Amino acid sequence: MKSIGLIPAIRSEFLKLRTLRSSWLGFSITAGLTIGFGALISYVSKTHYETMSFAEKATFDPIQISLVGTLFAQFAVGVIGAMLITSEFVSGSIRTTLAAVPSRMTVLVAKAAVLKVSVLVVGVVSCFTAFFLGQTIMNGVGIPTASLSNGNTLRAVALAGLYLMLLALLGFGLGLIIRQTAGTISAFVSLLLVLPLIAYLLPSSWRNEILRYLPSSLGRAMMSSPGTIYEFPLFSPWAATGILVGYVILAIGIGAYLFERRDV
Amino acid sequence: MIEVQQLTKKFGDTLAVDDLSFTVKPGIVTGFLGPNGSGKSTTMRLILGLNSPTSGQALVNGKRFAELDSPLREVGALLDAKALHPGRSARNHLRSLAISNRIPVTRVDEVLDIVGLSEVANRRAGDFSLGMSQRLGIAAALLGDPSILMFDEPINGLDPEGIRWVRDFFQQLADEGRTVLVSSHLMSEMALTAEHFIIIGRGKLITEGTKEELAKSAVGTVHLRTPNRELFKDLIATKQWEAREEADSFVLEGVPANTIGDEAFAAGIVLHELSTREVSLEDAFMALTESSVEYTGRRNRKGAQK
Repeated sequence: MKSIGLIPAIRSEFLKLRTLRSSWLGFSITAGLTIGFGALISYVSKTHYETMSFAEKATFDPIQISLVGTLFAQFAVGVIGAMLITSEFVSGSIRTTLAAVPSRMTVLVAKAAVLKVSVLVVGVVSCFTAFFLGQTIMNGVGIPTASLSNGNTLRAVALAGLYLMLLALLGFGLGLIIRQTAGTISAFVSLLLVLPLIAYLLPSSWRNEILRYLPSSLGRAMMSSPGTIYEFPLFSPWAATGILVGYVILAIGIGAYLFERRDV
Repeated sequence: MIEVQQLTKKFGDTLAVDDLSFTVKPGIVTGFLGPNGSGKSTTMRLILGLNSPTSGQALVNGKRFAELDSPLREVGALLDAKALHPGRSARNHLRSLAISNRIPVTRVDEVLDIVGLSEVANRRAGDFSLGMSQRLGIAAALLGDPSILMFDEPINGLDPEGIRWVRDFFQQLADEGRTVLVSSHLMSEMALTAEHFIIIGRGKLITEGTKEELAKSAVGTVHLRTPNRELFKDLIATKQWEAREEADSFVLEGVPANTIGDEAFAAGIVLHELSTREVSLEDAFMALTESSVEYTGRRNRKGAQK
């Protein structure tokens, strides 16, 4: 497979990403949801902490509270990842792209690299901002807050940013397979929202085993604090990260296989 | 030089391109003609490696497209003027392409100037009219100053001034020694643009040749009037000419006027008129592709009664 090289392809894809208003909108929404919802829920927690039950106070997790915005932002990054590739299929511009860079693997790797780096930067910055803002809001009045000097806290916040990046790549992989914006976003939302709903209908022995493998549960595990009790057992943060990486590799792997063989 | 060798492409059970072979030579504008759905676009996509052939191959400058080191510097193609992200400006669209092939970005403003889009370069490409999009597609094809250029239906949507410009421009590119392949489903349009023609129908090569060769391959008709109608009918029967009788004349196909005149004289038949009607290139094209038109509307065809 000969090609004109990966570096020019990456530079080209980076220019394509940053010259679209929709990219900036997508990243702004990601940051806005992560930081905004984190601040909002932190504030609500602060004002209602006094009235919480003993059990609620016992499981109160200031890290998770401040990172709650990632639950919303995960859809924004999924859409960013999906549209990075589906917009090319939908408009037909994939032909223009491949007439300039015929190696499909080069195009795929360049796109994935640009997506990975940009979402990771936006995700990590947003998550740390949300964390600091949340802790600042909740500070005082006897509410437990977290500090980054604790290794587990640092890990939870950093993995929250990584979680967003992995979900963007998952959306990208689905987009490669489905090649259609609406279909890809439906599939992505189903994975995150509908699968858990179905899992809850299953007998509890199955349910707990299945639930912890779902992407959204893996995300919670990545951001979890030791000692917090959840409705079902989660994987350890690093095991959860590994499994999610596996899903991403699977989705992009299938997508790459199809992309290499299909006519465009 | 583009070489298409026994190229075949099946989509399921449909044969889109059927054992197609032709060569596109440098230095002239080659017209690639065929009715809608005859496989022109698929052939171009096969040349660019966007579709993979079921069998056969297409070579550009002796190589498969995927083997080119810097594709935009060797082959410039306009396949679909609207195949770009509507949200990106024309300039940024071209910049992204230039960068991918290490073409200096200063070239972007040059090609924008060539196609006359400099003033709208920062506008969203999605807001462009079809004609402007065609110009942008031509600009993209020119980015790498390639020796091979392919344009799929580039004249669609252009205004009369644009059409004239495109014709002269394609000619200029060919005069510079480039290989220029231009597809169209309209012969009338191509007759003025191209020198050499490749005509396909249902994915098969129907014929190829120059304007003169094509016109020759299509038979003209000879119109004839005579007061000795019965005698002339006998002559037609004896010679087994293909002819039909009209109110006051005969129309003959496939027989030169001088042969008819000689034979009539020998048979002692008086002729009042003997004239040859040349077929236009467009008639020739219609006749050639008639049997391979995919979608036909209802119409009263001339000569359908014969």
